[in-house]
Parts: sequence; structure tokens; C-alpha cells
Amino acid sequence: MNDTVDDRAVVEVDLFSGRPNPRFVLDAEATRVLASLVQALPVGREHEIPDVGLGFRGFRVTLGPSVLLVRGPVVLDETSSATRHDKDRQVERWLSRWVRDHGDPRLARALPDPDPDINHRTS
Amino acid sequence: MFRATIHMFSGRPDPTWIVVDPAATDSVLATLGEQPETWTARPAGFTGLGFRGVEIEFFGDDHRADSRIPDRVMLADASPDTDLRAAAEVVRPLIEAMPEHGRIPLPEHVLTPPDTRAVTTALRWLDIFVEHPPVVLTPEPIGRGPLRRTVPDRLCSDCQYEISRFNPNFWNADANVRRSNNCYNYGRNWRTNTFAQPGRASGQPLGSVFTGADVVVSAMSDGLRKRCDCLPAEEFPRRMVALVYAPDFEGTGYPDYHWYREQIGGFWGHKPGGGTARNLDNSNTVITNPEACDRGTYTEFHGYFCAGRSVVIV
Repeated sequence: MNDTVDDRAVVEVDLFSGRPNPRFVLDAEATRVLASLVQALPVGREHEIPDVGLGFRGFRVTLGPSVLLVRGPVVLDETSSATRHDKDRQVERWLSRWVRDHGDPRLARALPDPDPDINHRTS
Repeated sequence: MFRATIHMFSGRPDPTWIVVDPAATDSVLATLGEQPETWTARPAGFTGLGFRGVEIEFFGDDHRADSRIPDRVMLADASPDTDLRAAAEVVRPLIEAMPEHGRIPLPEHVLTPPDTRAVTTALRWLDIFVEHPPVVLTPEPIGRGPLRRTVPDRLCSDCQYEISRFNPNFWNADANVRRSNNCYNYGRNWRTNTFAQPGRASGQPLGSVFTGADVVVSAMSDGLRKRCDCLPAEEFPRRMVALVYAPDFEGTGYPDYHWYREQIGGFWGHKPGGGTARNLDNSNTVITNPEACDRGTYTEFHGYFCAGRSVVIV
């Protein structure tokens, strides 16, 4: 796959209320990994999207023609309203890790822990 | 015969007991008949944490042969149009007699026995409830009442402004609209789909690092005025908004700001960034006071402002 703009996912961290949210462009390889993670999730008929207020509200990912809202255990395609169930929050954790390692490490403090098991064992 | 329940706990069962004494039942029916101002069949009172009233449920399907009391009534829940103090005097002897009438075992008694401890706790909470009655909100149902109303400013007698009906669907129904409008759009009540920023329209935009005072300067550059600097009627509709500020958003080092807008019904609405418009704070409590509600990391309160029709935001 060529590394063109269309191939690369754009990740918006839905975090702030007033100022614009941070946005990152994934490279083609990271986009492929993310897409495969999403596609491996079971499609559900309906999953309730947790409503949240001020603070972290999930990731919004533009992936090809789709805009995905990743919020906890639910991945909602806002363009088609299709939802996938992410019981272990793999996508949310992968995105948190990517933002921490490749985006803006300062934001990691406001994001879900990408490695909760590891941190639990070492704490 | 009736069952009484004191609504007061959150997790454990509420104190509840069954009264089988015919004389006691007749006495309660007589009191309720003589003092209709003490009860309601359609509870609309306090529903928060703590004491929430005493419910009486009559068991027989023919008790109405001797009275006009409904099968189920609520007392001392601070429902509008009821007399809380009078209701407290009706429920007080009922609560005091709880151990005497609590001999019939109920599943709830395992965790909450109808004993003197329950009586003492309930009476103490009742006294506090009566002395400091809660504010009971009666928001107008969506779809009824006026869309917008002019109200006097209780802090500045010369000023008036407009409050409007809470209409979250306008902001939430469409995903594009939801993610393209933020708290500033909601506060000004302009759905620009530009994720509006204070000062951008008026040439006084915020930088990447800013203080709460900077937000005030930029917003006032757009035309907002401080509360009590009355807007004239020509500025109709004039929105009352409140500004809060996060100096260090959850330890990230980034500042952020947030706006609330006063609505019809005694509460405030807001829209956290690209999230949903709502009237709840971060504890999922209806926002009646933006200064005191749960605002998470937005710890600084920077005052109230009015946004008239001439305010332009993009």
C-alpha cells in the first residue's frame, strides 16, 4: 500500500472543551494495524455509547471513508451507525499507546492507561 | 393495613414495615383525609441522596370505601404544593412507632431492621430535611412552554436577559454537528460548525497558551459583556453564560476553557467540546449552579457574561 494521505488515519483525541482537540496523522503501517484491529472486532447491532462530560471522551478516527468514535468498549462508525464491541478496549488502548509514544507524551496523563495489566503488576 | 417505607438510603434497603393494627390504619386514613396538604399521589419532590420522604401503601382494594385516599401516597418529600412541615408532623409518630409495628418479617429487615437505631437515624434526617428543605426543580417538559423567556437578573436589578428551553437534540442528533461545535458555540447559541474560538471573529484570537483572563479578553472582543453591564433590549436575545478555566488540563500542561448557558427550568446547559450537549455535570447531577457543580479539571471560575445578538463567533 502506498503511503498516501488517503491511506493514513487521522486521529483526534476528544479531550478539550473549548480549544481544538489534538489531531495526529498515522503513517500507513500504523493505519494498517489500526484498521486490522477494528476489523477484527465483532459487529454488534446496538451498543450503548457511554455519555461523558468534561474530560477525555474517546478518540475520533477518520479511516478512509469512515469516521469512527472509539469510546471505551464501543467503536461506532458515525457515518453508518454500525457499532463494534471492543470488550477489552484494545483499540482505545492501542490509540493511547500510539499517542504516548508517537504523538504527544504529555497527553498520556489524560488518556486511559494503555498497559493497565503491566502497570498493575509493577506497582 | 398498610406498608410504610422511609426513602432515605441509596445502597442498602430503606426502612420499611407493615402496620396491621386496624386502629392505627384508621388513624392514618383519618389524618390523611383531614390534611390533604401533607401528601401527594404524584410525587414530584426531592430525588437526590438522603431523606426523600415517607411512602404509605394501603394493601386492601376496598380501603377507599371509607376514604378518598389513593392506594399509594408520599409524604414529606418536598413535592410542590405540599406542606413539608405539616407532613413531617404526620410522619414523625409513624416513624417513632416503627419498632412496635415492625414485627412482620420482611426481606429488607436483614440489612435494615426496623429498630430504634433506624428510628433515630430517620428522625434526625427528617429534622435536617425540614430545616433545610432542598430545592426541587420542576423543569418544563421538552416540547411545552415558551421557547424563550425574558427574566430579570436577580443580581443586577436593572438588567434583563433571555433564557431558552433546553434543546439538546439540536446539537446532538447529527454527528457532524456534534463534533463541529463546542462549548463556545453552545454558550452563544450559534451552531457555526466551526468549533468556534473566542476572539477569532474579532481579531483577538487565543494563542496555544492562554490564561482565563485571556479568554475573557477574547470573548469580550467578540462582544460579550460582563454580567450587570446590562445589555439593551436591542440585543435581544441576550444569553447568560458562565466561563470556567482549566489551567493545567489533567496534568497535561495544556490550558482549556469551558462555557455554560442558563436555561429555562432553573438549570444550566453545556456542550463539552465535540461531545453531547447536556445539563449534567461530571457527577451526572443537574447543574443548578455552575460555580459549585462538578467541573472536573476546570477548577477556576471566571464569572458570568451576557452574549447579545451582536456577538459574532466563528
